[in-house]
Amino acid sequence: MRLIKLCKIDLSPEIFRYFDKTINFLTRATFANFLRIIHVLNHSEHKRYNLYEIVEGCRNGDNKFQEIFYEHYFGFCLKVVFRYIYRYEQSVDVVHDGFLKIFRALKNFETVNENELEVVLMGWMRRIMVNTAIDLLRKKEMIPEIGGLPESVWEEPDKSTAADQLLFYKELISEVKKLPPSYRTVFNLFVIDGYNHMEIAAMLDISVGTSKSSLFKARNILQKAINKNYTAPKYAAGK
Amino acid sequence: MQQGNEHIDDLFRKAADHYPLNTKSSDWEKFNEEFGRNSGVYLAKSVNQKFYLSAKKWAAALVLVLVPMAIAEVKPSRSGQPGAGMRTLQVPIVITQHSNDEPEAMANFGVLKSTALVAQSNRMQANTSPLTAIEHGDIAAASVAEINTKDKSLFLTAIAEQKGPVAELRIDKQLSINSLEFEKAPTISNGSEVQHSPPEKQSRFYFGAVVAPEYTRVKLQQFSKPGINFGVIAGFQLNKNLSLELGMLLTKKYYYSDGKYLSKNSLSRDGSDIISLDAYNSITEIPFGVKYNFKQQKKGGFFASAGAVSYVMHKELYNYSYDANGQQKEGVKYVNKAANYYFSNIHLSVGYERQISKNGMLRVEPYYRIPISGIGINDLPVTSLGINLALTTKLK
Repeated sequence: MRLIKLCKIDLSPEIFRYFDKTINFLTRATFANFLRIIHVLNHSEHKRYNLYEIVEGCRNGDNKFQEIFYEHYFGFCLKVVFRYIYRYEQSVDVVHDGFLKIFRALKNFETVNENELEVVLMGWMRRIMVNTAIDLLRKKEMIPEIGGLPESVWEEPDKSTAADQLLFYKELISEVKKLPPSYRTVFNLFVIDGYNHMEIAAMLDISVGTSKSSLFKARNILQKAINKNYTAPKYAAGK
Repeated sequence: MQQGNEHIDDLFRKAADHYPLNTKSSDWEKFNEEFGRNSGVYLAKSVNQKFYLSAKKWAAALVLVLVPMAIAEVKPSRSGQPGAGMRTLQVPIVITQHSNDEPEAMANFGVLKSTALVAQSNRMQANTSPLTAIEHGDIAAASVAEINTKDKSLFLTAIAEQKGPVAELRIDKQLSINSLEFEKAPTISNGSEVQHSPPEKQSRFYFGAVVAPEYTRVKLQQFSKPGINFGVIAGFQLNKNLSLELGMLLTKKYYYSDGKYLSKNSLSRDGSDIISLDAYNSITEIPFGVKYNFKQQKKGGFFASAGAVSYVMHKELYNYSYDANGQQKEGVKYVNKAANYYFSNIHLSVGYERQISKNGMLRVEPYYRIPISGIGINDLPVTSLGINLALTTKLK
């Protein structure tokens, strides 16, 4: 206002009213709300990037790309970890730990071929998530968990034709999670994540014989559970 | 048997890929804040984030400067200081002849400057007689009184007799210009003007540089080595005794704490007990408060101030010792990530200010800062004790 006077600018009462309103608004607006508006404006821009751009952005430490990367692969990583870790909240923590390792190590991740980038990247991320989950299990000395899982951890299947199949998959994973931690870990590593007994023995600091034995027992338990609860040969692989 | 195993394995592989897990628990903010900071990894800020941080600082400064402006500039001043609450609105007014007895010379062509003068406003409320006012040489007061009495011809006659043509009238800004129901008529300009020269205005904004050595501690524990603050302050004088002040200071804080005051798992995530820590924090402090001059002297005065301090943390370094299975070990944690702690301390101070030049003031101000909330990754409530040494000058 003082500046306006110094410049000897003639102002009409309407403009003064406008100034009144503007200043009153700024006075009333709380500090936090004001900042929130700026934040929203900053983040209102949504663009689509390809995976190569996202990975490069993460390598350069760009927070925006890190967020896109995290949001895109969170579900995949959680699905990997949740097979190993019984508690859902703990699984989320493990996924976060895993992402931290991923962001640290992305600088060293080599993208040989842009076309195969996603496959290689997901394999690499899966290894990191598995190792992080096993670190926690070893720290907890493979102590069995008690208590059931709340229904909220599962996604409610829609009314599509695959809904029955998804429910069946849910039951199968629930059976895996009910296994004692040592059996569950070996089963997951060998059957689903494709490690061999030598690798498993080294990872879990057990003998190859113990690994084989654990796998055998895990399979037996699961087979019995399937035979008992589900007579559904139609769900067998490829059918 | 082998074939049966393959069957089961395939089934479980498919299940692992497609099982319906609720994956809506992703929380980027949490991940970015907690894990980014706890690990000490610098998740680099994007251009947007950098803009956001600097925008926050500027927005804070803007809001805090506009508030006193809104109080002082927009609302009519009650302080009685000339110039306060003024606005300039130039409207040509034609004053015309009303009576055949009056000569044309009575008419004036002037510019009515709508200027808020509180003294005039008061006179208006008192319904001062225009003639009385003019006799005392106060044309502006007369004009106001005239409008109240609606005796225009008497008013104009009085002006002509006492002062002659009046080039500039001043009325209170609350007075509606439309209330001056002068009729349009041929005008005569005689060129000579009588002006009330406004008193010399003195800016109410001031700014200065400040340096402040300070000691910091946590919950009445021992002090560590002294830290230092330096930066700038800016203020706005609301009235003779009261000012609003805003500062921005770069601060280096050193403090010590026993491990028992640390938030859990703030330094180590494996649950080991922290015995003690020595901390170094690099912070931008934003103090905002009210200053009250309670004892004025000829060339200086004593004052007290109170307010709140916000912190923008830049770097945190912690040298700590912890208990690893009965053995004491040393650890270092370095966090290089910006974090904001709004209004985390209350600032209280008393000081002495002395004039050293026409506009320059030297200030010595011991202060004490009481924590409201914790700062840093350890969420420690830090108390600061220091002394502000500042040089300030008024804006011209």
